[in-house]
Amino acid sequence: MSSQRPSPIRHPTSDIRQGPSRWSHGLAWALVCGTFPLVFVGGLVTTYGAGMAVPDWPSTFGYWVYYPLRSWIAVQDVFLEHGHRVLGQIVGVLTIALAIVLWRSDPRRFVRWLGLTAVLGVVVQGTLGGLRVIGNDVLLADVHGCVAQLFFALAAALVTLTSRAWHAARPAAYAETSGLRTSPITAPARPGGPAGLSCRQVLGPALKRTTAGMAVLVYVQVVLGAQLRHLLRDASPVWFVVWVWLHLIVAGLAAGGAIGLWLWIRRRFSGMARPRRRAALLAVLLEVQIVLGALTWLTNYGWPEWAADYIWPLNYTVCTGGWQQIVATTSHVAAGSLSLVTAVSLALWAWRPEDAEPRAAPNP
Amino acid sequence: MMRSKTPSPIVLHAAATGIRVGAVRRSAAGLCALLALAAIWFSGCGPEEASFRLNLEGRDPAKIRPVQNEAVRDALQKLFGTPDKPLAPDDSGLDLALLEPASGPIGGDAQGRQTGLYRRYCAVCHGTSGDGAGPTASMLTPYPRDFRSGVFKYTSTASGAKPTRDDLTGVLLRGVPGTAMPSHIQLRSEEINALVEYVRYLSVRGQVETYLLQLVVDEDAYLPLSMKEILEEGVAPIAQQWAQAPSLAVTPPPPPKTDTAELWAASVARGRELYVTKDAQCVKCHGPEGAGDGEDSELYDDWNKPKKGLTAERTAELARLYTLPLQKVRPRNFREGVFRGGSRPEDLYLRICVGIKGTPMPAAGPAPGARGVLTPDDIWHVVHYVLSLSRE
Repeated sequence: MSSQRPSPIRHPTSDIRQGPSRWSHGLAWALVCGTFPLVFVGGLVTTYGAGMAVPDWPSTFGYWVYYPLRSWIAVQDVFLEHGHRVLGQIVGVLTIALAIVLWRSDPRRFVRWLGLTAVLGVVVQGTLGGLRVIGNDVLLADVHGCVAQLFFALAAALVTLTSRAWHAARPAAYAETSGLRTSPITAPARPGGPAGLSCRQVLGPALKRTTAGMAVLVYVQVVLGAQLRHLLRDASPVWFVVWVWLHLIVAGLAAGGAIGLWLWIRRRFSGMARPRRRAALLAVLLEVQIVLGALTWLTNYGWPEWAADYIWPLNYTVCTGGWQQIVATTSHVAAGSLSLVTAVSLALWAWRPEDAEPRAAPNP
Repeated sequence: MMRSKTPSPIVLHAAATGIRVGAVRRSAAGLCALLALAAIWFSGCGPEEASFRLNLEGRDPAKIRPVQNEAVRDALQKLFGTPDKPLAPDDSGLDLALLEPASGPIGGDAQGRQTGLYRRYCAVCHGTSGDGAGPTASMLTPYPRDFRSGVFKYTSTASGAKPTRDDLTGVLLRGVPGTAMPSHIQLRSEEINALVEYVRYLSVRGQVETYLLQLVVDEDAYLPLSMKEILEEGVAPIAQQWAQAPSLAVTPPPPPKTDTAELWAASVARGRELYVTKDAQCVKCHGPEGAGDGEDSELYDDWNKPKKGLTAERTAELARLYTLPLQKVRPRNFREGVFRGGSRPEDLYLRICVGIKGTPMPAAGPAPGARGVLTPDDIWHVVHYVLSLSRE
């Protein structure tokens, strides 16, 4: 019985298959684990309105190096804002360390440059945060919040790119499990084209475009959310309406799209375990986001009158700084960050080189 | 022998992945440049000093000249300062020391003393000028209060009177259930006092502003009064209205005894009788069963009435003169059990007794200077009836 498995093709750069050092992956994980609390506490700072609790920068109430712990924990707003700064410093150090390790050990130049971009990103992000304080500028706080999510996505991308799994060779049977035999798409991709291609080969470009588009869509949604959180006090009321509706429309598109993407990957790319799992996680996160978004509105703006008419009257009073408001709003922000990194990771796996399968012959 | 040039691993990898190295480099460089530019750009863009918006709501721009606007703006700035540096005119009854923590940009110190409380907690809905047209306003029902008219819905004072400090404090602490107005129970008492004073400041300033704008339009002049005359004829009478508020406050008397089921049922039955009487006028708006479905469905508060023309065309024409679109008032549905002015029996007593100012909800009870259509006991019976509906 002869196996029809295509013989694995050696990657043209199989020397880099050994991958970067363990240190780079460990540091990338440390960076992500440091950045998530940083983004989370940043979200808390915005929710509590504590961004100006410490009026100076880069010092804290005149202290350049060490702000006394007793003073730090004595006032809630100062605790949050100074804590955010300390976390930022830790993330800065981790970013520099990662960039050095990548520069020294990673054979892929674009990954080395990504490490340097992360350093630049953390510097710019810290500076934006500082300028927001010095200028007491809500617009800068908005930009600071949006860049934070980009940085978090970059850190997560570095985790993926430095992982062993990324460098590991795929099993030779990959092409079979990806639907070569079961999928109806075994016919030539186009009339006269080569027959017998796997789904990944036929639909791969569409998968790449779709997952990249999803990551962009989730980021757009994060930016729209930031507009709702950083309202300029003298802005026209029209803008809020625009942001709310855009946020709702993109939420619907992203949540619906994520479910569709997951079903599509499950059906057509059943062998791609990592993209499939990430697509499932993204779909779950974005559905949870819909619920958290509704709770965020409820705890910030109350139960809408139309909801009292059509759903149920709710005797609810919004409480500024109440635990419901803090939990709902900050969870919504945090889940947004997690959705973004999941979408980025999904896109990266979709874009991963297809090295274990034979390349399609060009059309005659 | 010539050595063949071996492609670098990155080139090979890129060839395998389909990623163009140049594109990655260019993207990274572009991103860096963009971030750097953004940092440089925004570093020179500090916030401008906050200013009050002139109250031109509902005013035909053709009927007031820019020079008149400027004159009013200057006079107001001399009297009341700016949002960052407010002033309290003589005899205005405003306490500048109390105002300080609420005014100015948002900030804090190492002891946790906050400044800019109004901008932190209120301006996003009520606007920096207290015009009720902050960034979120148009999506809220009802719209946030426009402080500039000096009219506040939930007070303990007689019809037409200003609210007391305690009334404003109560709304800040309690919030307005079923709306976007939050409870600020987490704030310290001195912070609440500062916010109350700042709301009073915006109201007094707003009323003086309305007075001056009306004056320049009526007289068709630049500004026909000196600062001293403005203080005497504009500020002082308004300040006096605010000062009189505590003397016009109503304290709910003790309710009639309802400690047995029979007494309670009798009180509810009496309340039902009063509820449907012509004098009390409850049914007209709240409907026969208290479901908020009375025959009067075209109801508007004082902030929206001027936006309503007799015809649809006139309404559309008026809409251009206002920041926020026309919004109807909906009578409360008692069965939902959501009472915006507070759900304690005493709160409901006050709503019936002194009404809800600026809305079609009239004052039905006795108050200083008013006899009222219902006696205190009658009001309590109606309160019990309304409470019985909400518990059904």
